[in-house]
Amino acid sequence: MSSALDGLLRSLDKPRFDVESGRVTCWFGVKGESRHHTVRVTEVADGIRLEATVATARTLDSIAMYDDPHRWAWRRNRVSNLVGFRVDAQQRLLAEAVVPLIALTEEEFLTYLMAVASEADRMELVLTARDVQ
Amino acid sequence: VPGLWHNADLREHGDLVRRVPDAGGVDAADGDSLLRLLRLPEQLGIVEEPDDRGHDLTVEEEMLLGDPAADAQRVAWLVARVAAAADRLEEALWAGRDAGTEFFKAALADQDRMESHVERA
Repeated sequence: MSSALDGLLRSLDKPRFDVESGRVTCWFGVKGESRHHTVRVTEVADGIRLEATVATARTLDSIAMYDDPHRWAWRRNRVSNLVGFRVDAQQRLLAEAVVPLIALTEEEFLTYLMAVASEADRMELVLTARDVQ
Repeated sequence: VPGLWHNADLREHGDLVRRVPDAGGVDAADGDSLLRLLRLPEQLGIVEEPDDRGHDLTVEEEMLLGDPAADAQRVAWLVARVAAAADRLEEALWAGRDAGTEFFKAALADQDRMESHVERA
């Protein structure tokens, strides 16, 4: 992990976030009691990928989406801001943002992190009414 | 840059840049190509024409603008990422095809005309 990313992860508030091996659990209220969502943070060329699972393949199979999940994600990406959706090779529905490391501030990193966590959590609530991820 | 605009909704956090290159129509792609497409780690969008006349796929990524001194570098990073992703998408759908600038100029001009029309309406 680069020192830039390491520094950004260290800058996160302990009362609101749990950080472990490139995984950040974001709490939307009191830690341990409120809804939460885990975001995976990995490096790409000159950037960071923030990725959160909305629903696993098994969950996607079990719920009645009105549309094919790929097409649903593609339609949504046309109108969404900052956070995109895709279905990966494991057939999981993911929310993600890819962020340039160029002059990236802690405040901007936090904005992206919370945008991915909250979009993924909101979509998990809408699709499954649960708080697993 | 065609297809580039600012979004006012996130202005309180800095401006947002969105880059949407058109990767081409998906209807002519065969089943194997579509399976390759579904394995790509890209954020895609779909433009559906009225009356089921066809579909175009796009690569969609957004980022915040912040320090003006770094914005040009960020935009260059975004454009390079999305152009590379669109090329991978084109390769996955139609192995060996690499449509030239003229093809995309026409598609982008159509898109700009449609967006200008919507803005005026």
